[in-house]
Formats: sequence, C-alpha cells, structure tokens
Amino acid sequence: MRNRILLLLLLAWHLSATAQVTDSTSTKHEALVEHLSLFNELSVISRTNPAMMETAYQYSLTNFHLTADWQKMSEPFVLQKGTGHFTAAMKADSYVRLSENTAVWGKASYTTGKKYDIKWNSVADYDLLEPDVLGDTVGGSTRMECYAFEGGYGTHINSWHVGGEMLFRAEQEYRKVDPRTRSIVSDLTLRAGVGYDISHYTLDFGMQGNIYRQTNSVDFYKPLGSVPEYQLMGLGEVYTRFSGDINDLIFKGGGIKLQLGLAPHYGNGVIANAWASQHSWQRVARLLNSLPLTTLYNKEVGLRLGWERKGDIDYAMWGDYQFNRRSSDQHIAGTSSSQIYPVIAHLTMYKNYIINTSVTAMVGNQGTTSWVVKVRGGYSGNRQHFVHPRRTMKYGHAFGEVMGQLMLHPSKSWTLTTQVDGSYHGCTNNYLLLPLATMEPHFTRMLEHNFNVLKSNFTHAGARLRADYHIGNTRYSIFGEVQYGITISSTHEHQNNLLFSLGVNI
Amino acid sequence: MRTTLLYMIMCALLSLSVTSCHKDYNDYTTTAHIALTLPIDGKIETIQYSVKMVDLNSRNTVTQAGETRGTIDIENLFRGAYSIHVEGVVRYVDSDSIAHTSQFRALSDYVSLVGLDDNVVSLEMILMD
Repeated sequence: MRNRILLLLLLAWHLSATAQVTDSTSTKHEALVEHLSLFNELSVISRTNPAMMETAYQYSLTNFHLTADWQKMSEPFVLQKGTGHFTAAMKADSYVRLSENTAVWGKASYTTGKKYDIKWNSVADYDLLEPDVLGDTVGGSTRMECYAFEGGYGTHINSWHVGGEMLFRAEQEYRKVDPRTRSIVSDLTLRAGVGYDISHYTLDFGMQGNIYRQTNSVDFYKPLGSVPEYQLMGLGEVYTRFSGDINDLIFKGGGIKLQLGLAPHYGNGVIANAWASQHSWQRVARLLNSLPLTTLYNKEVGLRLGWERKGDIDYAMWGDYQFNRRSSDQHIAGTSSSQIYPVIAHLTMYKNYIINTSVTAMVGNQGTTSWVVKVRGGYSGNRQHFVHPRRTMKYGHAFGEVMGQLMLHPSKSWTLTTQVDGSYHGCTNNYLLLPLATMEPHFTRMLEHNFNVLKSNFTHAGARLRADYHIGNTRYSIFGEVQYGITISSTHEHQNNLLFSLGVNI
Repeated sequence: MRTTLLYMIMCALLSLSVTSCHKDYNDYTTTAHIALTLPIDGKIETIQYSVKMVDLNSRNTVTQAGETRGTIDIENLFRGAYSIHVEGVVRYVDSDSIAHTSQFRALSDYVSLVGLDDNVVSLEMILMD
C-alpha cells in the first residue's frame, strides 16, 4: 500500500512538472489565492461533479505536506466518539491544468494515530453507521491507520464538459487491550458527470456510486474479564437476542447520489445546486451464517441557491437547505436450525430526521492583497425516535458564524494567509423521552450524557496562520501552517484543536 | 439546446425516483389468537388463564389474564418471534358428559407471529391433575 502512495506521489510530481505554468512568484501567489480563498466554498457542491472540475481553477497547484492534528476534550461530547485524537499524516494534493480545456487532479494520504477514550462503540466510521453499531461499556483508546487516494479527469469539448473521478479509502482501527476491537474498512466511490454550456451558464448533471464494506470483530484475551458486546439499534435499544458474544460482523453497503447544477461562466450570475442520495448499510452477523441483523438507510436531499458577482469587489450570497432521513430496519429472526436463522419479518424501528438550513453572505477581493469576510446564520435540528419501547430525543440550534480571511504578498518571496472565525450555536428546543422503568441504568447514563452535551449552547473561536516562502525563481515554495480552535459548551465542557502542517508547493 | 436541457432534467428526475425506492416497514402490530385444545375428547366450558409471551429478539414481555371459552385474543402485539406460556384452570365435560375442573399449562418455545392481520396458534393443554 505504501508503494502505491509513493507511486501516486511520483505521478503527481511528474504531472505538475509537465504542466504549463508560468514560474513567476506573482503567479505562485495568485495560484495560492485562487486555491485557498474562502470564495471556493460557494462552488464546493458543483465541484463534486467531476465535469465541473476542469473549470474550477485557472492555475495548477500541487503540494506535499506533513500534518499533525491534535484534539482534546475535557469530557466526550458524544461518548461513542471519545475525548479526542492525535493523528499524523503525509498528504499530497494536486490540481494540474494539462491544457486550456483539460485538467487532472488527485490526492493521496497516509494517516496514522490514536483516538482516545471511546465507549459504547467498537466499530470504525461511527458517524456513518450510527446508531447500528456494536458497543460495550468498557471501551478505551483505539489506534488507526488510513490510506486514501483520489484521482479525476475533466475536459470540455465545444459546449460539452465531461469528467470522471475515483476515490478510495482503506482504513483499519484496532485496540491492543481488551476489548480488542478490529475494524477494516474499504470504501470506493466513483463519480461521473456531464455539463452543457447554455448562454453564459453551464448546466451540469453528475452521478456518484459508492461501495462500502467493513469487517469488524471484538476479542477478549481474558475470558473472565469479558463484557457483553451490545448490538445497538438506536437511543440505547439493543438487539438483545444477538448481544453478548456475537462479536464478528460485516457492514456492507453503498448507494448512489445524483446532482444537478447551474453555474455562471465568469462568476457573475445565479448559482444553483440540487442533489439527492440514498445509501444503505447492512449489519451482518458472520457467526450466524451471515444473518442480517439491521439495515440502516440514509436518504438525503439538498438545495443551494445563490448569486455571485465578480468585480473590483466580489460578492456572493446563497441559501442552503439539507434534509437527511435516516432509518433502520430490524430484521426479525425466527428459530434456528443448525445456527441458520431465517428472517421472518422486517420492522423499521429507528427514525432520525436531520435538517440544516442557512443563509451565507460573502464579500471580498482577490488580488495582491486578498480579503474575504463571510457571515452565516441558520438552524440545525435533529430528531430521533425508536418505535418500541418508545424513545425520543430531539434538539435544535440556531447559529451564527463569522469568518475572515486575509492573504498578503508582502514581498516577492512571501505569501501570508491569516484566518479567524467565531460562531455561536444556541439551543432552541430539546426533548428526551426514555422508558426509564425498563432501562438498565448504564444505558440511561449514556443517553443522558450525550443529550446534556448535544442540547447545550456552543461557542467556538478559531484562528489559522499560514506562511508560504517562494524559493527564488524556481517553481517551488515551502509552507508552514498552524491552526487552533476552541469550542466551549454551556455545560462547561471544552474542546481544543491544534494542527501543524509543513510542506512544499510545486 | 432545449432538447439537451430537457433530456438532462428527465434523466435527473428519473434517477431521483430510483433513489427513493426503499419503503419503511411500518406495520408494527398484529393480533394473535391462541386456540387452547384439550388433550382428550371433551368440550371446554370455560378457561380462566394467564398468558405470558416473550419476544425472542427483544426479550420484551407481554402478559394478559382473563376468561375464555377456548381462544385467547391478544391485540396490538408487536410482530415477531415469541415463546408462549399459558397457565390457569379449565372446566370441561368429557365424552361421558362428566364435568371436570383441572389446572393446566400450555406452552411453546417458538411461534412466528408476523402475519399482518390475524395469527392463529393452536396449543394443547397439559392437564395437571
């Protein structure tokens, strides 16, 4: 796997070396401004369609960097995610314009590190698979390794834009003490898209397919010290019949996403994106002759509608709406014959509705000295139900966010980027209903802990400083970056993030 | 140009309809009819019973007590796999028209109660005296 990473890094190096790029330092500065500007956020959805990547940037930029990322919480915000992490990564990121009409891009990374004090979760990719996970009351810190690759090609011929892209991630997460969880993930995504020029707009349509697989097992080397592994199904409910020692699982799934977009050619006009996706992941018990236990579905629809204008001063304003409906079907097992269980019925026991809506305004200027100010306000809500015994959790936050970015070119050799941001999430509603009389106390404590943090108010502040040094008249520059962020909840818990990067641009 | 535009929008709409093909399984409950039968020739006059049903997958328990002439109806039962344990007192007349009163038990380790409407389960009583 490491050889493949080296091969990709060499390929990226070769492509960037053969790219038609002017080597003046002002061009390097302009390339950095183009690639790092906050204004890119407006087009981030369009650029998930590979047909639109060919027009994403005017300048090629390739970088290789080493990153150290540290996160620490005073108490876990969500018990299943732990109290933080420390990861070190080696990354390459490249966008290369091969000709006026064609571009290729790619990413490769190797990440290794540790996640701290996870409880009630023995699988990788919790955000993707929750609540259908395996978990126990002991937990602990886990080690992880991740290899990720991404590559794409986009071109345009007359009025047509076409593009394709592939993303692959292989990850393992494991623990060297009881409970010895081991999760191995492979995650492949393929994207294809087309676009067509109409007047001074491009109308684009993209498709994305995903295949996901995770094998997961939990072992105990001290038999007397083992604890039950619960097949969790949402809001503290478990699949009791197969909890305990059914610790060998497969999560297999995937899905498709479709998107439609409209983007102006020269950054002046209306921008619109609509997308819909459906993904599912089935939890299968390998020890029971591949008995499916649950299937989790995630349906998502989203809409972005906005307007942008480029001139001496750039303006953009847009609204976002995103709705996720997650649901989990429990597969009801009949009586076994030689450890083969028939599935006799399916019941949709867990339902989760997530809404995110916001309005964003941005103003700025891109030049020798570039600056951007972004203001965003909106609402996010989360509502979960378990049908029987009835359980409900819901919370919603109104939020406001301000972000500023300044990019300076103080001399021929330097580009300095500073960024600050602040946000406040205020809880507007919250509700928790549990069948307390029939619940075991440790399940109640777990849910109440998560609920108390999730329904609290959050204040966040962050800063980022990056310095790029352009080496003489060569095509190279080196950079160093530091980011810090702190989030404080109204329950007096806090989270600190610190990130260092050191790398080279080509 | 207009044809191309319409074609792309139609493809998008068709694809969107495909993505929303999964439907929830929201038929949660059913009705169980537990028909109790005598192990001998005779006619049941009345049964006073208590029944305990355990969902084998969730371990949730349903109990009910009452009087019947032979069939116990349990409504709003979550569809699933159950074990059933019935006990009580039955009064019946045998083939010689002699009346008896006897304690009984009837049980099953596994019954499938997943039908959307009615589920009929027949259990033979074990007379205790």
